[in-house]
Formats: sequence, C-alpha cells, structure tokens
Amino acid sequence: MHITCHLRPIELCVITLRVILVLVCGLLFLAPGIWSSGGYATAASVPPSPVQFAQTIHTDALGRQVQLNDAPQRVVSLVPSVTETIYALGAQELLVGVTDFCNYPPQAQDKQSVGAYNSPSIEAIAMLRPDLVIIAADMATPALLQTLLELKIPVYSVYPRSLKATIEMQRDLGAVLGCTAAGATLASQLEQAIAQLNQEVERAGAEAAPRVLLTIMLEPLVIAGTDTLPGEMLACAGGINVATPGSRYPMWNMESVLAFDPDIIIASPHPGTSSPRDFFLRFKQLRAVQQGNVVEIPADWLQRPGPRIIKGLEALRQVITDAVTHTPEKINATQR
Amino acid sequence: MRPSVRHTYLWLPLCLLFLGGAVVAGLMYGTVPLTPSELVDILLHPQSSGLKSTVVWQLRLPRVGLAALVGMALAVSGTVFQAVLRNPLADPYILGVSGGAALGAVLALTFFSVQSYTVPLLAFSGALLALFLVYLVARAHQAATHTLILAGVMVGSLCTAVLMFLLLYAPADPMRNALFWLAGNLARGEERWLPYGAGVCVILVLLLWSRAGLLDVFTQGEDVAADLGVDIGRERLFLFCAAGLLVAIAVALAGLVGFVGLVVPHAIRLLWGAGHMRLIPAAAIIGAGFLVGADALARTVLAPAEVPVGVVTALVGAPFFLYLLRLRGR
Repeated sequence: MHITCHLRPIELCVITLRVILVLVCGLLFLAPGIWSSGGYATAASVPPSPVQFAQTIHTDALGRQVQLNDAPQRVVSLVPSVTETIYALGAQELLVGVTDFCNYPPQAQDKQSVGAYNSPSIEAIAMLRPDLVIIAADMATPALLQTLLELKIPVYSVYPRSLKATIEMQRDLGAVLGCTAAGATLASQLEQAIAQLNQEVERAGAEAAPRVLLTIMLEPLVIAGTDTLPGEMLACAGGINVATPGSRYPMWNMESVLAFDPDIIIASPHPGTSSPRDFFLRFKQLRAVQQGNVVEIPADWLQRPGPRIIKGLEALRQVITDAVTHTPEKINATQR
Repeated sequence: MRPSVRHTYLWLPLCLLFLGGAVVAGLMYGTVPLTPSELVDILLHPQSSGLKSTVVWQLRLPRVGLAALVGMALAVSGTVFQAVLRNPLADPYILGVSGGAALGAVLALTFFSVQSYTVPLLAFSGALLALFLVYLVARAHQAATHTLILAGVMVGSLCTAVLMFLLLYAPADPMRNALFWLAGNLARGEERWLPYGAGVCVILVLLLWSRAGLLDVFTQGEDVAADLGVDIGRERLFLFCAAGLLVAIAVALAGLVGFVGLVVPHAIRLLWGAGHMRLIPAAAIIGAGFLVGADALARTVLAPAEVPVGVVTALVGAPFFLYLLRLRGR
C-alpha cells in the first residue's frame, strides 16, 4: 500500500508522458503538413523578394547559373575591388553594405560595413536585406555561400586574377547591376589603355626592356611572380620580371636580389613598415640603387583588380621609360 | 640509464663536426653559388668588395649567426623545461613566453611607427611580462610543476586572445606583417642586436649548465630532490626564469621558430643519454647546427625563392626523430 502510494505520482508522470508521446507521434504521422507548411512552404510560396523586375540568368566566376533581377536595389559588396568598380560605374546608390577593407573611394567607408573581407558577419548582411551579394570566388567558403543561399539572398561571385578577367568583371558587373553601358565603357577604357601600352612597348623595341623586381612586401621579402596580376601588368608595361617564370608570390631574400641585380625595384609603401627606399639603400652595389631606380607605387594600383589598374599600368610604364631614357646604355649593357 | 661507453667520449667532436658542417653549408649554399675555395678566399679577404663577398659578409654570416643563436637558445631552454616540468611535450613556448612576445610584436607593428627596433624591443618586453605573470602565480605555490604549466598555458591563452582581438582592429597591412612575423623569420637583419643577444644567451646557457646536477635530480622527481635537501621552489623558479629569458631573446630576434626546442633535446637524450652535464652543451651545439643547416636548406631548395624555415625543421627533423625513436625506443 505504502509502496503504491509512493509510486503513484511517478506512474502518473509516466502515463502523462506516454500520452504526450502518442499525441506527438500521431500528429507527426497524421499531419506531416504541419511541419512543412508552417515553415518552408510559406517561404516558398511568398518569396522575400517578390518578382517585380525582369530577371536574367548570369554565369558567375564559380560557374553557377544565377538568376538575378535586372535592376538590383540593395547590393552588398564583399570585395574591395568590386566596391571600387561599383563607384566607377556610378552605381554607388545601390550599394548598402561593404567590408572593412573597402577603403576606396574614401566615401565607401561611410557605407555600412559587414565585417572583414574574409569573415563577414552573416547577420549584418542579412539585416541589410540585400537583393544581391557580390563575393570573391577565392574567399567564398562553401559554408558562407550555402548560408546566404539558404537565406534566399542571391549571390554573384567574381574572380579577377588577370587583366582579361578584370575587363570581363567590369563588363559583367555593369550587366548585373543594370548599368550595362557604364560597364562596357569602363571595360573598354582598360582595354584601350592596354592596347596603347602594347603599341608603345612595341615601338620602343625589346632591347629597351629593363629587368624589374616587383615587391609585394619587404619583411619578409615577398615578390610578385609572372603568374600574377601585378606581374602581368609589368609585362604589359614593357618590363621583364626577374622572378622565375610561372611563379606566383614567392618569398625571396636579399641574396637573390643581389644575384639578379634588377635594373628597377618597385615597392609599395605600407604604413607601419620600414620605407622601401631605406630597405634597399643598405645595398649600394645594387644597380637599381646606384641609378636611383628604387621606385614606390601604391600597392592598390597594382594589386586591386579595379578601375585604378589603369593608374598602375601608367605608373609602371612611366617608371620604365624614365629608367630607360636616363640610363639607356647601362640598361642595354646588362641584357643577356 | 648509463649510455654506452663508446659514445661517451665521441659526443663533443661529433657535435662540433655537425655544427661546423652546418655553418659551412650555411655560408656556401644559397642563390649565389660558391665553391669551397671561393668561400675560403672571401673569408680570408674581408675587405674585398664584389657580389660574392657582400653576400657572404653582409647577408649569410649574420644570418648563420642568428640561426645559431636562436637554435642554441631554443634547444637549451627546451631541455630545461622538459627536465623541470618532467613533461616530454614541454617546448620553449609552453610557459606563455611566446604569447607575450607575439602580443608585444603585434602591438609594435600595429600601433608604433616604422623604427626597426620597436618590434624586437616590444616582443622582448611582452615575453618578460608574460614570464613575470607566470612567475607571480607560480611563486605563490612553491612553483609546483602543474601550477607552472597551467599558469603558463593560461597566460599564453590570455595573450593570444588579446592578440586576436587586436588583429580584428588592426588595419590590413600591419596585420599581414604581424602574421608573417609570428611565423618566424631569420632574414630580419637586426645585426646590431646580435652581439648583445649572443652575449646574454651564452651567459644564460653557462648558468644553466652549471645547474646540470640539479636538473638531473629534478628529472628523478621532486621527492628525490627534496630528500637531497634541494630548495625545490627556489631552484625551479631560477631555472624557469633563466630558460624563459633565453626564449624571450630568441623570439625577439627571430619570431616564433618552431620544432627546434622540442625535438633537439629528445634526439640528444636518445643518442647520448639523459645526463644534463652532457645534454645541455650538446643541445646548445646541435640546436645551433640544426637551425643553421635547416636555414641553409630553406634558402637553397627553391632558390631564388625560399621556404619558411619552420617547414624545413619539421620536415627534416620529424622523420629523423621518428627513426631514432624506432631505433632506440624510450
């Protein structure tokens, strides 16, 4: 008697639990519609971005077929060079979100930031309710891409790793952002700049091509190889890269610089590091030091595949022609 | 415990031979090829100018010197930490020194201007600060082994957390420099600091060597040490400070170079036994030679490009160590 009295509440609990379980199971089996229609079905039947605009299918840099509104209204750029390109297209009104690294043009920094280039905040992106997010193909982790797609946010990826790809990106971004004409103009400006440089270089002749070291950073000494955007720009401007053909961003040391003894050394000043001139001036026997051909060009002109590439190309050409006209006989004498 | 007699008298010449070979390789190999006779000629005529002379005197010698110094400091401090903490996984960075140094270096790279001495100076200060924090905690409990390890790991974690937080706010360029700095780099030409660093390191190594008997007792366990009348707490704190200072100097000069401090002491124990009278000088010489040789290899295999030295130390050292482990066992 005592025992049953003690057990009764427990039994009650067990019975109640069973009833609840049976009910829940019954609901699960009998009305599966509750689960699907409550959450996903609604989302599917009422899309967050109702179709008000005509849509076009674009193929992005990841090879995905992306269906996008012809005129997106709220764009988030997760790529600094894309942000620059959007400003150059005159489409900055559409831009609602950028990254911490989007520092050009200066007014881009007034836009809402969604975090770092490589680790943006998904929540910050979602809060901006974008109808287009532009990402870099090499920075798009599958997880980031998947999450954005699950949130029904259209994603377009770019991968500008060469001059050709940069030209294409400018044209494609114009098409994606509903300003096709501006995109075509921007792309043809760069094409023309390249064509003009090619002519100039051809006129100057191959013997006037100096050997150039293109540094990315000094400590440690990382240089741009031939298979990079800055390397391609250097070749386009008529310089011969001293780096091993086919290389990307190898780490060098001063011994290699002394051994190759380039005619021109190009470096980019970075805040917080020693000045490129001082770094190389320690070695007076370097030809580039003796002839005053240690030159600084801003990193963004050479490394950001955006509209300022043209400035970079012009600066490179200027450096090369200056070096050749000031010391032509010495440079020619060094050709092997 | 007693190592085989035939090795007992051979260890010093073998060690010196290894170091000598490594130094010769370090001076001969690189992007600019040198023959032995050219090297001798250059070394005999320090005043001559020319590419090869500049390469040897201005670039390779300081670099070999730095590698030797850092290798020695890391190997000896690793030996001491492994003995004092009686933990085979102890390496020079276990007591938070690396975290403090990294934090100091990143602070210097992020917030201070371009003077080349700020990074080593702040890295050194950071390492000392971390060491001091661990010391404060450990002193309260007679510097018990687990207190030391836990305090060190915690201080290290704290520094890493602050560092990560700082990196979130650092602009892109200093952050990139800081990450490269953390990876370790022997190319940094802080030649002015090298003689001072070397002087202090040699004194510290000799001091630690003078405590070889004490380290042997520690390896036997604390009870044995206490029975023998050793003031465990005080001695352990002294050993910890001296070894920590060694690490701080190494990190300030070359960033975080991994693997040397962990594996060299073990390799020498496997080769010549665990007696510290021999272990400490052998670790100093082999550690120096190992890093010099690894750096020579790092500069040569992909010349004109180079490989991070930490990759080479692990790539060459780990298989050799596994071979020793298989051969001798523990």
